[in-house]
Amino acid sequence: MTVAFLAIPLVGLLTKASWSTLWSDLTTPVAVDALKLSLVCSLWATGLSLVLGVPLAWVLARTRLPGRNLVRALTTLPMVLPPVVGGVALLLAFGRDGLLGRFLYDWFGIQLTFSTAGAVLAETFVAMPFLIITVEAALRSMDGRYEEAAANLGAGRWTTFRRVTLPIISPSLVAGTALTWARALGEFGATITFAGDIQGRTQTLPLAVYLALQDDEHVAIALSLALLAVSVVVLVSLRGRWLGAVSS
Amino acid sequence: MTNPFSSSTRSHRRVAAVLALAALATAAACGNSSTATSTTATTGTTATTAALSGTITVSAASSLTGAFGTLGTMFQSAHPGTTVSFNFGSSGTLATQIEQGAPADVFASASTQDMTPVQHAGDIAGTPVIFARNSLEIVVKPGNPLGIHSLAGLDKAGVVAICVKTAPCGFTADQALAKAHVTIPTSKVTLGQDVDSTLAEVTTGDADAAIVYVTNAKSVGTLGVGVPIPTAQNVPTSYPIATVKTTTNKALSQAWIAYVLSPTGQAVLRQASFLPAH
Repeated sequence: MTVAFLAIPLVGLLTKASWSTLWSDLTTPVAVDALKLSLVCSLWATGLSLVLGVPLAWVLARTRLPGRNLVRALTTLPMVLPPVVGGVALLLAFGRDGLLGRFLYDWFGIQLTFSTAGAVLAETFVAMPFLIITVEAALRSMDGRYEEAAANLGAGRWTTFRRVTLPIISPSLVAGTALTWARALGEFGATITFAGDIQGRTQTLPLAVYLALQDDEHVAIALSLALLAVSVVVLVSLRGRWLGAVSS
Repeated sequence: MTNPFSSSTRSHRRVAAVLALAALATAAACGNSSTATSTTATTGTTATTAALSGTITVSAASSLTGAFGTLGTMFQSAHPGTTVSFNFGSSGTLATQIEQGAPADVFASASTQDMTPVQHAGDIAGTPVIFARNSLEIVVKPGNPLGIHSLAGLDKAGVVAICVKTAPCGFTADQALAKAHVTIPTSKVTLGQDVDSTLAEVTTGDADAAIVYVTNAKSVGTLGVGVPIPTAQNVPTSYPIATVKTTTNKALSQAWIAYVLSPTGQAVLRQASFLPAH
């Protein structure tokens, strides 16, 4: 029954799709702009998450820095926060009148709201915690003796990380990255609140679906199918690994 | 001494309790059934005050949030025992909801363009009546820092918030821009799902201007400044109201519509800066 509960909406999506007009629906200007923008923003968000998130995960797992627990709680917060609340928070921090945003605007003329960079920021905010959690769990559960052995053999920290740690945690890292990417791709609430809904600039796939629902329902369904297809591919390729298991 | 809690007494008490509960439940259910007790006609609300009861859901355009909220409170105090709940949103969305069977009793749209398809789909009882009119106005940041004084001046704005084209405020804004021969590049337009969220882009967000209704501009307070649009470029819109065919409380629905059309209702709408229906 649980499976039916989860499956029926997806079946509904597949059956209500207008298969004959699918290609023309997916090639309308709104759809093409949304597909391109979503791809660009989600890849940037994933990249930023890797660059910022992996070092943080390493610090949380490997060091004894004071305040680690607080940091860990903070990094998990965007996962539980309702996305639109995240958007409001980002607005208050990075909007033109925001805590930090006012300096960005007054000193550098940078406005993050209503910009593609803003959409990337919103997606990174909600998606990065997934990567941090996955990588930290993998680092914690791996056998630390490999790293010790490398150190004993004279390898520096970075070399150890690059040639010993990374290969060991790579399944979890890949899984975490895929999950982060999927989460960034599907982000709606924070994006629409912080970056607005500008076609070609901030109107990512989920926003385009929301818009199309009122306008061209079959376009909305076609775009939803595109998102569904991506999600299925990600999940199938992960094959249950994203729960943080590490293969040794 | 006999045991007051002997088993036969206990079972008698139990039966009595169950009967009492059943009686209460039946009384409550009878009290809530509205159709049996209301016998109102469409006009003359005062004579039928005692007969109105029950609940209705009014699906109304989001520009009516303030005025209908006030009217709802007034109506419910004038008719104790009635409840008027509101479902505010973009008229286009509301129309779709009703066509797909959403349980609304009254539909108040911000344009006849959204009411007509619902009528054609056979979901409206009777004929819609126009109860108010509205037109467009630009709202900019407090103090109008960019010096926008007309639709043409919107090219000074970095980002302009406009409603989606399926909302009345959206398609009338598009018409007004066409009338004024102004084109705003797509990369500068952020779309709001309804007029309230469009306005919020300026009042709480970073948009430089928004094209909303006169009623929104008049209620913005210190959060923004209204820039009027001249009649030659402006596009007025008429608000129709009608009872939905699948209403479960026809009398209360019609009483609500009559209240909106009454001098009291019209006074509240006038105060919110709506134009008279004519």
